[in-house]
Amino acid sequence: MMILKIKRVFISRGEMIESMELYDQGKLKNYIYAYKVLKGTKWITLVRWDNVESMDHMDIYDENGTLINQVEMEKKRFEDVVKIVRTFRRSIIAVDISNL
Amino acid sequence: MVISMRMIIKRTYSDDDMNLLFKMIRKKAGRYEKIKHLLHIKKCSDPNLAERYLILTCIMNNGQIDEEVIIEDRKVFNALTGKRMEIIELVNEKGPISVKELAKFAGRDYKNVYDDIMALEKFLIIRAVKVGKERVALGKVRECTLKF
Repeated sequence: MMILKIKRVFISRGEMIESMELYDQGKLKNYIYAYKVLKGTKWITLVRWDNVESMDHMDIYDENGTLINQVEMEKKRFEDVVKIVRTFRRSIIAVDISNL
Repeated sequence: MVISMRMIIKRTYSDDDMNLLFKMIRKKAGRYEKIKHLLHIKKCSDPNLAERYLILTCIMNNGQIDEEVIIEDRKVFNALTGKRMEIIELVNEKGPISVKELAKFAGRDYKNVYDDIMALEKFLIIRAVKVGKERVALGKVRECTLKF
């Protein structure tokens, strides 16, 4: 059976980290860990770690949703993603976090 | 001062919620095969595409969606007024439900209910999506635990 497990961690009002993990027969198939901010009525992704349709990597977007950087990296644990986001918050897009 | 309070909300999605998500994604992004193809050629240039792909993959395989929300901020209690708790109960009972219908069932002004939905959404307590011109609340809060 396929299960999509969504975990949303509240960071501040209008800021969150969302984890989406798709399990097939109990095995993790795809994941997306995204730091999102609420702009008007829409949640905008600023940074995302995922392996959907490609290798493990990190994407950085601007506040209009335009991809500004993509870096290949090993899969991060969700707990580590939460720590990184809590440290940098909205300024995360201006910091080189590829080595963290 | 270190915050030790943690509120954990568990939400499940009914068949009606899944159908609404399916229709919404199909309307916004097209068929499953198209989304998969776009993902392949565009990679991650559209941040919403991969999320829609995961949701559709789950729905099309008759899977289930489980959601957990973790809030470590005491201000969450400011968002939980009596009227807003009523909204959560109405969404649980009648959802997926539009703000317009919620206002009707609660016998309240549309604007006030809309503002309440937005306040609850900012704290991730309610999940709402835009369907056409309407904002629709979905998912059912099954459990809300407070840990210290």
